[in-house]
Amino acid sequence: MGSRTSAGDTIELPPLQEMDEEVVDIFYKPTELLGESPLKGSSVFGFCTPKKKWGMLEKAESVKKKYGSPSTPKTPKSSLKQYPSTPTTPKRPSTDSKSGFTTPRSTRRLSGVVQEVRTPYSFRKKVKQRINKIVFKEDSSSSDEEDDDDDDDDSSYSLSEPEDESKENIDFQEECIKTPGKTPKRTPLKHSKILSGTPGKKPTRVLEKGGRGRKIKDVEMVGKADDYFTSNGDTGKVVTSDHTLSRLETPRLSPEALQSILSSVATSHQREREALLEEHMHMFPRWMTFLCEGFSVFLYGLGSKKQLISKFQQEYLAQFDHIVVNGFFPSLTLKNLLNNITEDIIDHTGSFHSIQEQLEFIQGFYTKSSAESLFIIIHNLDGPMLRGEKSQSAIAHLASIPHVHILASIDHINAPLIFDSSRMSHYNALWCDATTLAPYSEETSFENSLLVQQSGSLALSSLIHVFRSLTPNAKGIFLLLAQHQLDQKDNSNYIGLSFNDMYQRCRELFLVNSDLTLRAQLTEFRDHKLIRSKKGLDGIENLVIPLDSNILHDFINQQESDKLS
Amino acid sequence: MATVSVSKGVFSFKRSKANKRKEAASTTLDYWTECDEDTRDRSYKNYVKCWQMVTNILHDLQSSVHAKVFEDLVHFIKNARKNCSIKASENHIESMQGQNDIPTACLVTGVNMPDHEAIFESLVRLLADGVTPHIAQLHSRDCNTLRSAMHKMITQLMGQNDLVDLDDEVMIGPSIKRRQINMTVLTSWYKECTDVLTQEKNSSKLRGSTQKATILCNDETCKAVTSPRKAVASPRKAVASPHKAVASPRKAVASPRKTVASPRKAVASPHKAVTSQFKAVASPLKAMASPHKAMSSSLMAIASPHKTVGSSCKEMGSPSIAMKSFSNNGSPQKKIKLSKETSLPTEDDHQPLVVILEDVESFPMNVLHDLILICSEHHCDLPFVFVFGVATTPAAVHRSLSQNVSACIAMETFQAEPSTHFLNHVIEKVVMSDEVPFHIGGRPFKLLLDIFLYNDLSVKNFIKGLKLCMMQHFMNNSSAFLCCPAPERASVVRAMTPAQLDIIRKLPSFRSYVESCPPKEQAALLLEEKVCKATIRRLLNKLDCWYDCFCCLVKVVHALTSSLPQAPLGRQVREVLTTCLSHELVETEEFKEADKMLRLMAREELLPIVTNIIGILIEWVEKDENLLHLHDELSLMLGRLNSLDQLDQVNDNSITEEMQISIQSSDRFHLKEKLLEIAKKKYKKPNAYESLRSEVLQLLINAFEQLLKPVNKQPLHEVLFFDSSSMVKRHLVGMPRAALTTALSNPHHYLQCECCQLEDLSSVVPTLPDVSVAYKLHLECGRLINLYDWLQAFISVTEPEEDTSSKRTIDQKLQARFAQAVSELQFLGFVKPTRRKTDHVARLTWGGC
Repeated sequence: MGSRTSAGDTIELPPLQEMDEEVVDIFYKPTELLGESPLKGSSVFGFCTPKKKWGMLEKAESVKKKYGSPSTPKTPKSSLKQYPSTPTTPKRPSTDSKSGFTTPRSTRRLSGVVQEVRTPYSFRKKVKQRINKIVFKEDSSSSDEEDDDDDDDDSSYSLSEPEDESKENIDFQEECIKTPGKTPKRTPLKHSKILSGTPGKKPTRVLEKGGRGRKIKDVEMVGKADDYFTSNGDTGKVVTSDHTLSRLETPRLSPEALQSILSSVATSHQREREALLEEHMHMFPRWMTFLCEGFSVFLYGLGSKKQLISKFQQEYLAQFDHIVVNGFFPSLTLKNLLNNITEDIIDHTGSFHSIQEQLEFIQGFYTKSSAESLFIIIHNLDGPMLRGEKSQSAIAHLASIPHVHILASIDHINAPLIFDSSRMSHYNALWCDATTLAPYSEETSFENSLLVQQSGSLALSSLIHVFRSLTPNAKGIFLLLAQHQLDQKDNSNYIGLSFNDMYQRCRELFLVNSDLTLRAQLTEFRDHKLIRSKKGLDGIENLVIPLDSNILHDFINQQESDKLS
Repeated sequence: MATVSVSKGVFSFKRSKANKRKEAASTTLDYWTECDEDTRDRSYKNYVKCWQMVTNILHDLQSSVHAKVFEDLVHFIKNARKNCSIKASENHIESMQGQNDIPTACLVTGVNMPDHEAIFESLVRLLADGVTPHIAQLHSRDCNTLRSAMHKMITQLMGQNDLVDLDDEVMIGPSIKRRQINMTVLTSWYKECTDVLTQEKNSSKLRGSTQKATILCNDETCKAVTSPRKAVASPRKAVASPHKAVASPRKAVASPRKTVASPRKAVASPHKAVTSQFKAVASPLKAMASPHKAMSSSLMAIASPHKTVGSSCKEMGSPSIAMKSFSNNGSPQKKIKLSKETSLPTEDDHQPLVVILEDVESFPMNVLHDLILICSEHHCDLPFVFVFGVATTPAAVHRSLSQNVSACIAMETFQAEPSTHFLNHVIEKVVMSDEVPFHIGGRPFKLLLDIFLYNDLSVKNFIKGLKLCMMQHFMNNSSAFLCCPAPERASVVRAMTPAQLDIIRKLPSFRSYVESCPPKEQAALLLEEKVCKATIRRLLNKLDCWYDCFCCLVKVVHALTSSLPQAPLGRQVREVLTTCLSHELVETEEFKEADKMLRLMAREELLPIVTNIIGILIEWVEKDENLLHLHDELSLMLGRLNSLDQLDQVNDNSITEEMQISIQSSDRFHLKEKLLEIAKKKYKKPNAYESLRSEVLQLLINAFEQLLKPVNKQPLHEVLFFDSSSMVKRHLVGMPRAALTTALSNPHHYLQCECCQLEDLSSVVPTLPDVSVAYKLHLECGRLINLYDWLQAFISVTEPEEDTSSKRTIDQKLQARFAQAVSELQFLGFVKPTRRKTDHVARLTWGGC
């Protein structure tokens, strides 16, 4: 016994350490999958942008200052890059910042925007924090550690924040979106991390590149989901300015105009984009190998991949049966896809009871060893009509058939959510980064963009159309309502004109003689969706025209000009 | 070739018959672009061979790995029926209830969904081989409605029988067949099937049942009539010849039960009692809602129109009644017993109808309910056996089924082997095998393991990764043409062209090998073809031997360290293998840790370990001298370990002597010194066991040091080992979102242009692509973004010269570019239109992405 313990003494294991070891079990760490330190931050999911009221404009302004004409030399530099050169006590800079930074908005353009609000609170707060930080750093003489550890930074600010806030106006309380200390040093750190994310990887194949310096490296991503709760936890109201696009001469472009303008605009980085495309085209044989070996290929990355895939289709698939699916097409159905296979490719005449039956038929056809390969190209596997559970499992089922090969592109940031593990194994997919940075002109052409004229113009034209067919009295009733609504457009509590008021006014103008006739008119309007009635809190029916005030204004102007002419 | 249209989303291109390719594209060789043709051919052939080997091994494994649980399952299915009847004869009352219970095997398969398909495939194969031809496999994706589920089940059950299948094909088209399919058809079909199968002597019965079957098959319009007719027929028969009724009690039982389906109607108008079987099938729940009422009323339905029905039939008709009448009537017990005994032998010949539900959890609940209820209704005619594939726990099934449904199934749980177990086998047989010439290196192996353990626990995906590694190895590595099965190697090496020889000579590991040789040999290796080829062959063979030895020692290391507290080297062989493949084992921290603990190990612990190691080594002794040597030495030491007791005693005595000496000293300082001295002496003089232990360990460590070198130290390792993880990782672990955000926040990463170099990721320069500028600006916003402000900011970034804020007009080009950028962001899912505020969009991401 004694000998055994003596042997134990020779190997020095302090009892404390032993206790620690008992607690900490050794895990198998996914070092190869996630890299050496699994929790290293990245800008992808990181919470690195403080939400400021005028953040966007500040950023734009800073760029303008950097790259713009020297037309604004007298501008005192708006504080962003300047810190007090001497460290002061934490109290003083905060008062300084309040009085000192009235944020001279130098640029004329922005002055229009910002005139209502002088220095935004969050902006001042940010500056304050920055100064605090400098002071804090001087005090705590451990600057290196701080750079590495963001949590330390945050905690130090959360300590200093409350006392500052208590001195602030109460007004600011409502917009207290928490700003974690955004140090200028943090971002470069991440930057370098991202760029040097793949140290041990060397391209196994050297391609000749058209003037490209180096091979594109893989991107790394590690996420922090907790930030969601940090940013959405306090449900303070969102503060944005009240500007609308109607401030512009042409608030919205028509789709045709947009297309013609865009086609005339030269895209930037044309040469680099082509080089990028060229590089991806070198991967074609590999994709083809993957496909033929029974894998599916999923292409991801920014930029429309339609051109790239079409090239692939032309070069490699001309000799095979293949179908091309535009997943972004808004009225695509699964039935379309399957019918194309059965009718056009297999030449099967006959109908199917269900999708399942059709799938089984296809499966039966293509599992035969004599069957010829079928390639399915899907632009946007995550398209609006293919996202659904049913279509995904059907396509996955197709992908699992031996002679059917799928090449698909995905674009939406949340697209991987539609693949669960069994579906993924059916797809048997390999991922390929195919970033082209090409504009998504075709893909977005089916989308309802806010900046493109659509619903507005449609509503106005249909309004005019209906209006023309009305009797003079009915026109009068409608104009009365429209005029009233326009008068009230600045009243945010406006809920509509009550029926009784309406009746009174119509009577006064000799538009109706009884409330029954008015009701009959209103019913007609309602049928044409020109008005909407809502019951108010007091149970009285209120009438509203469900149109934007701008459109309404245009409409009334037009009516008046018609009357004049 | 245009694939742009505003009215069409799918475009098909049929290959024109004219340019028929020479061969159906089963080879991907055309797309292998590396090297010259000959090398490529060879690499491709090697690849095909290797993959074939692996698939063969995997195929064998697949069935063997689950052998145990499958055996149990098959046993269960075979005996399900028998058990039921035995139970019946043991306890009659229980038996009457028990008849409704469908024997159900609940196969717990684990969460690795992708592997399940293969498991069930081999199960089906096994069942079809020996147990029953009637198997239906149901997937949740096919069974969204009860109708489709029933159709699927019945067609599969019947489809197994060629005769029926053929008839159906000839007689009626699929559409009619589809409408016709219901449980009645299945019942009659099954009867026919078993009748044919058992060659029953009772010809009248056979005729009766076939007659019925033909009625059902041909007269589909009168289906409504057929079932009541049958219902009427059988009790009559039962009364007419009581003997027959006893002989086939099931038939008698069946008929009233069928009327259970629509009891209310049955009461109202007995002729329409079973208006249509299908309808009844479609709504069993309704019927089951009040089973007691249904039972009794159905009995009335039969009893009232046909007064001739005997009481014995009534009792058999429904179990509940039988129970009720148990006390009243003296005779039924005997009769039932009699019927049971007579029918037993025929039941043994009945092949069970196995219905496999692969993913029970994802079945729609109501479909599952109805399916089970219907099957239990017909259970007495059709010996159903369910197999539920459950990914989570059997409790999930109980939770999802209501009480009246779960009362219908008698569930027994079977636990499939966890996927890690399967993985261990795969690693043992494929990765550590000496048959397959291709081997996987440390980093890709670790990657595949990581994906397995942290993503899906799916062996199928592991194999997919392995296949990808293999493809990459043979495609990208020009030296892979040498990676062929060992017997062919000689001929391949002999046939090597000078160009190929150059490829090998250029391999870094070969170059370093050459440099380590004496100068004379160096010249010969580089200049003389023959010498070089011979060396290559020798080296490759040596590499093979080394890997065998390596794998054996990995197992030895595992045996040695897996039982240590906290298992610093891991508890699984795979973890040890990962470490050994990429690092020199003896140098690693983990091994040093383990070594520390091993040196403290008690004899009782060490003995079994050493025996174990000898057991591992003995399989390999013929193959390798080093291992033979190790084995012999270890055996010797084991002997010494076993005969150690007396020596130990002696050492103990000497220590106590020293202790006594030290106590005599009076001075504190001296005492301290003495104690230190003793401590040193103790260290110097370990007891016999300790010295022996360190001897054993030293022996093993020496062997490890000598033989467990990482792969990349071996000459020509590039030929057989694949050791690059980045390529594989890129394809296996897609990072769509990271790629998107990187391209948006730092387009320079992809474009590699001069103009867009950013000193910091959040900065903006005017030359960035529009969408990137818009993206960066939108990052600065909260949940809502004002489009006007966004537009202004966008303009001030892209055209810093221009000044438009005061004007109402802005450059249409800029506006169009902005509109395009915003709609791209919308397409990518960063923003969406919102109605909360005019001209605002909502941000869909949070934080800095």
